[in-house]
Amino acid sequence: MNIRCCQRNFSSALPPLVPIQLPSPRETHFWYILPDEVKSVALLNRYSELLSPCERENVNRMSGDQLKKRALLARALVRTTIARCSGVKCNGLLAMRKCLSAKHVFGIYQTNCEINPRSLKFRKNIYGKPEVEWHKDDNFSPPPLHFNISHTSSMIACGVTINAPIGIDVEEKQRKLKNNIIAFAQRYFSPYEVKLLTSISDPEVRRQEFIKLWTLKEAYVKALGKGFSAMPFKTFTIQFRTSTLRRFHLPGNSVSEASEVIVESSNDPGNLTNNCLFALLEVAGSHYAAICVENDEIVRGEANTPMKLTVRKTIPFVEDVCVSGTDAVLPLRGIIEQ
Amino acid sequence: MAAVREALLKRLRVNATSLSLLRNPKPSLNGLFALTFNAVHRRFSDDVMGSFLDKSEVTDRVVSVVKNFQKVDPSKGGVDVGVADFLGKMRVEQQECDLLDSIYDEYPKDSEDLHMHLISPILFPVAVFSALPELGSDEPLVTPNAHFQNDLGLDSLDTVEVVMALEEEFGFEIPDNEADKISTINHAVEFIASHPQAK
Repeated sequence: MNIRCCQRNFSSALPPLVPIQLPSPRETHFWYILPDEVKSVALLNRYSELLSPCERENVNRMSGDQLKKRALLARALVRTTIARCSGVKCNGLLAMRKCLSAKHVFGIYQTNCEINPRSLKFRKNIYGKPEVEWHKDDNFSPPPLHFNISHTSSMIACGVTINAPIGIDVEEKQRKLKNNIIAFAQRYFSPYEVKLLTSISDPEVRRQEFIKLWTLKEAYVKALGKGFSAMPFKTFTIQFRTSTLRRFHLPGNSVSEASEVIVESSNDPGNLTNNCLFALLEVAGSHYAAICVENDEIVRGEANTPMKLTVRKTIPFVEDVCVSGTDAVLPLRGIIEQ
Repeated sequence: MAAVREALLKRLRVNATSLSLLRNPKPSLNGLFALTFNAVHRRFSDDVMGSFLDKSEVTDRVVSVVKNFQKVDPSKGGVDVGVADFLGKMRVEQQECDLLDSIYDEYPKDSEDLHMHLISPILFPVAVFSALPELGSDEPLVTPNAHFQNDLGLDSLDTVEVVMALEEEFGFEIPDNEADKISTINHAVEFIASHPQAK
């Protein structure tokens, strides 16, 4: 890991990335970009400089400007988000050992220690799920950061957690299915879910519920990280359960308990696996976003604890806005604390 | 006149995927266009049960499924709308209409012969018309080498939808673990062409 604490490796015209406090356990950070808001060619070029040669090649392989831009923004978002979330962990002592000159030592106390997003390396696990490849170093213990991305043509999102695999999926609210919804559900969803969808008579509501179910199922499979084929959608059911527990709310915290989201595996019916936290949100008024975080801390039988969620809208190097608790984030399902 | 148009429209709806084949008509010996339809093909392949489909034919069919998938906008009522508009604008002389009516009456309803001899010469110019918007459009080219994600911009839900459309086209179920590996048109073709159950 190259910890270039005191250098600005991107053009000095750009402000450094503001480091963000590492998510604590059970805290989830959700970042999103709206590609239509990113128009500056100069900015896109800066993003391009963050990518590895291999990633740049992948971006160029996409057909057409829209797809290239989307791919570029996705990589830039992942790199900058992880770099920022990891940065604070790098403590001053560590930096001192790496830095050789007195000038650098003094420099530490002036600037925040940052990880260069360009220096991050990525790899895929045996199932093909992307993960960060931390440089093994005696002095550096890598943060157990997990991330997952998802994109549509109008939003790119990245979810980050500590100590827990995460999966996210975003879909446009207005997205229409080309096939018939019930036929599609019968082919790919579980019988319980088909029944739920069939029982909805309003076609628009049915379409919306379908999209919500799809995103939750995608997020779950992505969190488990074993791929669509290892976890066919038919083999598990997403259920909603109204939570009856009263919770003590700290003032200032907003906890929404629209309904608990649980997963039941067909292989083990009746055994409701509670080791996943789910959240389903409406983001920016235009998208449904589902987040699934695996969490071994939750003991089976115990009621689900809330997912502590922070949502940020970002344009890397330009702006960050924490939108948790605003209209931009509407909790729909799951027990979410913002 | 309205009845003929309605009959034509009904026909068109039934066989939307055949339209792509109409773009490559082969003139037969007596000068009439001889067109191959999916239904005719199926009849032949039924005779040879369990045989494998020809790869180039599979490629054509897969490409047309994906093209139709990309074009279909459910809010507008589907591929048929362009054609219906065209027909609406098509000015048919009264005597031509009477002629069509009498020909139509001669054939049993919904017969394949009716399809081949009556509809096809009419559909050909229609197919050309509906193909015109493709020329010079920004739409990504659906070629056999096209990658669903990188070239066509399809996401995971789109890909699953395409797989489902392919299952309907070829009449057999593609298992999830195989569907997962289909990320290009060629993958789909390879898989389908090597599957004896594909129709």
